[in-house]
Amino acid sequence: MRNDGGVAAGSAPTVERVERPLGAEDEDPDRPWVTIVWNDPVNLMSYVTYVFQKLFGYSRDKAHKLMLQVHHDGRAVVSSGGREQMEHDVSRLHAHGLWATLQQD
Amino acid sequence: MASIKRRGGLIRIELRPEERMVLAGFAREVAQLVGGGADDGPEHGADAGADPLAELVGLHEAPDYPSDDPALQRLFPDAYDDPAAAQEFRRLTSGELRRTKATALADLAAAIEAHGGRVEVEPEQADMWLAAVNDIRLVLATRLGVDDDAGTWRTQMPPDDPRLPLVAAYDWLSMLQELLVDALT
Repeated sequence: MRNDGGVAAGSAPTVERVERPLGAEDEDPDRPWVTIVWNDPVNLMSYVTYVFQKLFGYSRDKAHKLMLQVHHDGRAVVSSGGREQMEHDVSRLHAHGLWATLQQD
Repeated sequence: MASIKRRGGLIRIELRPEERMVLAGFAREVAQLVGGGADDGPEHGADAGADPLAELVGLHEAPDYPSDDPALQRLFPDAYDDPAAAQEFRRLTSGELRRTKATALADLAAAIEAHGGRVEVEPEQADMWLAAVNDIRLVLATRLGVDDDAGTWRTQMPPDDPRLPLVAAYDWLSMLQELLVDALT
């Protein structure tokens, strides 16, 4: 995730690449689904925090922590529940330009 | 220099003429890239969602994605690891998603061009424009090869690279987006 709007943003030479998990989904209907947001080098940290607050109604503190988790770990689970709800969440995240997927937990 | 502030309940955006030209120009180009019919005018894009025929057309268009264009791949990422599930999700959602994005981009361009140096809008409208600015940045980032948080792509770009003007635009749009987030937060 990009640090800020400045030209000199992020001088530390860390390259974060995230491999998306392979493997088919199990079809256990009892296991909840999760929405995952993946790190990318374009979305601004402040914007990602803002989107989490707006879409999920999270507090600024929770949204900020989730954003940092995406930034440092490469991904974070941002919501969980039924498959249809997670598809809705992923769709809204895509509308805001975040890289999101859903899978069974 | 661009200024974005909350005034009362509204978001006030002030741009210099050259900034308006850059923002509106990129917004129109990305709207065209995204498609979805909104470049025929805001009312066409907004109403298309309620039109069953347009919905059908949207569904027919959907299998064109994922596109060969990395920028479109980034704007419309796979929702599932499983290709079949991803394709089904895309079939059901991409038409509306394209219209949403294209409408916001075209609306932003029209407002910037129509209102001179100062635009005042409701926060909900500014939020749509915020996503539109982000979409422009995502497209430019793909063209520029932005692929790491550290900015290696920037230092590796030759001094005579024809894309250098895009770098300036990308940085300016990043600054603009920060201002918008600040005003909306």
